Amino acid sequence: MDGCIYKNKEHDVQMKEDISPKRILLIPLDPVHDVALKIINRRLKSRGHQTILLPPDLPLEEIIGRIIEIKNLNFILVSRTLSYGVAELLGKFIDMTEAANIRDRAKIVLGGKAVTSQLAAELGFDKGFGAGTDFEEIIAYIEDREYHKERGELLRKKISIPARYTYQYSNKEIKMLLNEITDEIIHWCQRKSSPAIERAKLREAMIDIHNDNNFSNEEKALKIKILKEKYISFCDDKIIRFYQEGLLPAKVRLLSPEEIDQLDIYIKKEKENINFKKMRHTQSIPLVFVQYGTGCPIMDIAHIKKSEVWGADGVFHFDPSWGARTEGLLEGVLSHEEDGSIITWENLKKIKSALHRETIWTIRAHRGLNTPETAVIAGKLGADLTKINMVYGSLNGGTDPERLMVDGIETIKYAAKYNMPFDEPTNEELGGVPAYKSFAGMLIIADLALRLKAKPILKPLFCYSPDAMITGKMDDNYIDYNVAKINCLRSIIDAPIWPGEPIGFMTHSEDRIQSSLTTALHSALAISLKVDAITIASSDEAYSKGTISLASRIDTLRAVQEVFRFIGKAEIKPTNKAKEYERDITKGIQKTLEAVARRGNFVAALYEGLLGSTQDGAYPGRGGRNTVREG
Amino acid sequence: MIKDKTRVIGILGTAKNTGKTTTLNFLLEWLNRKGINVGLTSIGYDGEDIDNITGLPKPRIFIQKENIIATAEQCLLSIEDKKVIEIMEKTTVYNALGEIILGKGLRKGLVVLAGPNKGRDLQIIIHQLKQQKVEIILVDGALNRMLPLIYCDALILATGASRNTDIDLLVDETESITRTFNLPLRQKAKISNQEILSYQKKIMVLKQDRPIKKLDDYSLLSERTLNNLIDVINDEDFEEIYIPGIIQDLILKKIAKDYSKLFQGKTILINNPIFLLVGSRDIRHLKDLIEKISNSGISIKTLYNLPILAVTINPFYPKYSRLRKDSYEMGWIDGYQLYYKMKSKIFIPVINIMGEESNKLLTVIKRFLKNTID
Repeated sequence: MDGCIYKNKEHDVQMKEDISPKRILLIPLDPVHDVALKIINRRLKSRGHQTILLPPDLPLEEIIGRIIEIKNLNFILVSRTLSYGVAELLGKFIDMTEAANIRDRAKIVLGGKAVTSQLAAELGFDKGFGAGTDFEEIIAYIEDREYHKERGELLRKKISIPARYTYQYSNKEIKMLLNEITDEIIHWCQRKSSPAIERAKLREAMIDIHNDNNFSNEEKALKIKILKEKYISFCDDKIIRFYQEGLLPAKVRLLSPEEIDQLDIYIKKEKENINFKKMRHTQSIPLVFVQYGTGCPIMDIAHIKKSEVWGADGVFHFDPSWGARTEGLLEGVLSHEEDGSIITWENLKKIKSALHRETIWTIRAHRGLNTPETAVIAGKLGADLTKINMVYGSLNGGTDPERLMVDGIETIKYAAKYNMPFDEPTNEELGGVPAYKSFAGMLIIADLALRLKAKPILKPLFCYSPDAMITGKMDDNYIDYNVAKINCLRSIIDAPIWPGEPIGFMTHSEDRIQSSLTTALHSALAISLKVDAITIASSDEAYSKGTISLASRIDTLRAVQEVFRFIGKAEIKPTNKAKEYERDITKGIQKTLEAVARRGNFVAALYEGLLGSTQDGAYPGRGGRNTVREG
Repeated sequence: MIKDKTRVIGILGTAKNTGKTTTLNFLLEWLNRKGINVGLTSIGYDGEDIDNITGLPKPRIFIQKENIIATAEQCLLSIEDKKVIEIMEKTTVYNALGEIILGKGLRKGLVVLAGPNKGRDLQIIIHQLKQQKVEIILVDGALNRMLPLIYCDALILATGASRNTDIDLLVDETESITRTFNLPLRQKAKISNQEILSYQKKIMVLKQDRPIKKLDDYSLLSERTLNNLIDVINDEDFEEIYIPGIIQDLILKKIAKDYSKLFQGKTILINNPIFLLVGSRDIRHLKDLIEKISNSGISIKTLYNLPILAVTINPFYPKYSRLRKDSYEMGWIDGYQLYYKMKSKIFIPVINIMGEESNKLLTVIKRFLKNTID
């Protein structure tokens, strides 16, 4: 699967010609809240049914009296919000209908916010409809036809994010500069390799053998053993100790077979009867992504399943920072006592098994010493997307620029091979690098990707960046500068844009309401700008002193859903400053690219700070320094 | 002809958390220990882990091997459920959760009971349970509903603090209920009570055991229906008036107040004491109303008896916590006082189901079973 856009298919209700009109009595028992019943009344009437709507808040005896008078009734719909003493009233009502010999005249249905099937059964009703019931479901019940609850499922469909983009450049000068730069890069990286690249090749071979049914299990084991030996030779001591002595790093442990069994049972249960909440309203984009990486695959899966239910379109995996600094990957279903879930074939396989089939899955490979191997594993497991940005990874992610460029190019090739578009996070902006520089880096990588037949997705930040703070660009509002970013990129190239990670970065606080609200407002901007996707944080992500709670995750998903409803197809209007900032960013990008082109050596440009200097807060990483070899 | 020996006992709770389910479990345990084949169902939904409304822990129904239950198929979905209950057959009776099935206990375990929600369906389920050769059928009641229980042979009334934390008011109400269930049976008449029922189900005016007038109404629910009745009987010489449906207590009051002369010496016939309770807005004062009617020289008799075997009381109630918004905590009233005051007014065995004397309930049930299985 190569990425996704969301298609909003409204499920058309097929009206059978032979649906006979019913006679329905509608009883609002609420003193005030009879809106729902009025809506149902209108819809039933429009479908040709006969309805009688009683006035609200009538005494029970009078209602019984009225029912006695009506002939040929098919349904009685009672609506009541539940509160203290109400359940007793409803039970008495049913008793009275039976005592008055009218119970059998019609099916008696209860509807209201707190109603469940169980409550309806307790109170003696024939059916109950509670919160979240579609009016269509009630009408289908009355018309005795099937209601497709999979509506939620029908609406969830993976489509390719880059599919509708041409990747054509509109800005000729920038295009030429980019081509010049990437020409050099492609030439530069020829015949260069690194331990990571070797490991990636070996890992790919091992997976292929494992999947090849032409070999017997013994043959497979033997072949893999040989490859594994070679693999280990490219690893760090920490990893070698694991393969040779079975010693896991500190704070890491294998899940026991019992735990894995329980996990499988949990996954099976969670996959049954998922009742998706509708995230979309009238717009099919942006897609909403959340990130997981609690350290434990069990918790990750719990978070993922709940996020799916609450409307997340996609999830992405974030791994521990020490993984980025260690040559080689571990194996097994591993749990980790700190942030980040360890990347192993088994962990990712387990997580994949838990995903709903239409949930988009991203594995990030954008920094560190294992990027190509991560992409291989992701590709082999059928991940939809990955994440690669060597500029960010080397200026802010701690990896050596030369090493990451070599690895990154290989990773991009794997991404292309496995049909995984990838997004390019520009989080160096959070370190202090001005957007125009990080965008320059992002565009270079994007152009490189296009040259290598991969599909890049641009990822500008919607954040209150240090640079914006210093230069005052967001003193008045958070809108203009973010609008400028998007419009600038769009004026340069026709490519997918996915703000993250997450949106609203640096605007969150410990206040859950404020945190949810700023995420929601930034998503309002996103939908107004019609970007392809957004990544949202849970409401406690910025400040959680431990693991993220499920409740706070739902906070923001719910908030974003509300925003989609609120905005619909409307737009947010920036001030004139947006245009001004847009021009500045474009000029800045061009200037930066010119400087890089002039330098004639991209990797050197990285080291020398042309894409983010130490003054900007960017520091070329050291991880993997001097591990690139020629030939 | 095989005499139908199976007895059906219904458990009527006056509110949630009155100990209905505790009583049920208690009885069930004893019956199982005695090796008596038990059938089990509910007219509501019983067996949730926490109370739907208050969030406090609730007991669930604990069945044993060979018990036969009638419950919604949807309540037996988990792997655990399938180990406890074997589905025997579908009943074609439905409730809000779907089709009800008959199941047999494979081993000890907890079940959720969600059975037929109306009387006619309960009749069918009882019939189907009887075909499974059970000796006793327990029917668990539901919140504020009692009509379907007219198909039981006897009731146990469960009440307690969660109905009313004021002991005096609670005892008053319980007295009203037991008094109502104690209304005299219509007896020694030329036509049987059965025959009266076989007539068209409308309000009937009877003289010398024959219907002389019939109304269009089924219940006395309003002034209008009362006036209809008055019009019909005004110049008639009648003895009994049979009301198959609801008699609203306000209407009864009006009869006692404005029409006592007309009804003096006559009998108001009801189908079952439950109908009087269903029509009552103020159960607590029902006993006073019955007294007033009686003092006016008017008889109230019932076609069917539904004896209350015992009253179980529960001093626990869900206390609404102001400190924690919208939540409840466990509260208790004086169980001792409740017991003694109840005993002094009620002439049926009173039992604190959580107390030391709970075995008294078993004595009552044993006596009942003995009297009916001869």
